Amino acid sequence: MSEREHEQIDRALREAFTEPVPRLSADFDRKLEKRLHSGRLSSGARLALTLYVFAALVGTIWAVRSVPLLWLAVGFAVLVPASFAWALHRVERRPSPES
Amino acid sequence: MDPNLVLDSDLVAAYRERDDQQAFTELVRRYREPVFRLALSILGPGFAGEAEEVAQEVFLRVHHSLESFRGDAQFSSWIYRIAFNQAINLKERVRYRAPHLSEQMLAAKASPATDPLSQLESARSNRALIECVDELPEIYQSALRLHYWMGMGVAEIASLIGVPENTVKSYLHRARQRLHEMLKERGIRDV
Repeated sequence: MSEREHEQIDRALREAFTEPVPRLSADFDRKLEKRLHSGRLSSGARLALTLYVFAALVGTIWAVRSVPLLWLAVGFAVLVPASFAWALHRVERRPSPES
Repeated sequence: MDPNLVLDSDLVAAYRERDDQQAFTELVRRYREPVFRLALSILGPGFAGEAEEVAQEVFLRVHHSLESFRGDAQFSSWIYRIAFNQAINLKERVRYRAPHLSEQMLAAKASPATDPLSQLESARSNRALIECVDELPEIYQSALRLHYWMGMGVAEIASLIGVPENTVKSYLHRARQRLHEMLKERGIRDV
């Protein structure tokens, strides 16, 4: 490839890329700030969540103690996959771990 | 003290040792624009939204793993490496999606010719050229866009993609050579 051909390609590239370079949106920092702190729970909140889960578990066992086994199985078959799918959806929207 | 005078390594240390959020904010302020540009150079024109998403992901990842950053490499090389990989991963996912504003349109708009026939010919050449750029290896595409589209010098590109300056020169040279061959194969001689 000759020097002249190099210059031709060089000129053509300069002419082809004339679109203004986009800039970051003005609310980039605000969006980042929001995402940085969206998944963070304080230790108090974590404790409250643990207590809630424990209480909900005990309450549920007490509430369903007289429900027929078949209804329990049906409820389990519907709710467990649904909550799993919802949780998976939430996790996928978060940044993936270090590759 | 002027925050611009503080070294990256000191900001990283302040964040790691004292959980200094101001230090992290300063790192974001320093690197948001170059990270965005690097991502955009890989994704191409018309993918500004995606490049911004990459920049967000990069800072989330940095925030998450800054604790484990050992400082063997410079912070800038580390963050640019993360940005490069994130952008390449995203590009794999959006490969078959049309850009929001096609590069073909950009090329047609760039035509400097005045008469309709020359304009048409020039637009055709530009379109072919941009299509050929898209077929080059990712690293060549990135170097070309950083240089020709964003007007960066060789030294700046070298720091962004983490290679010596001579390697950038060689990427640009080889990319132009490949473009010339590709255009010749397409029967386009006058670019």
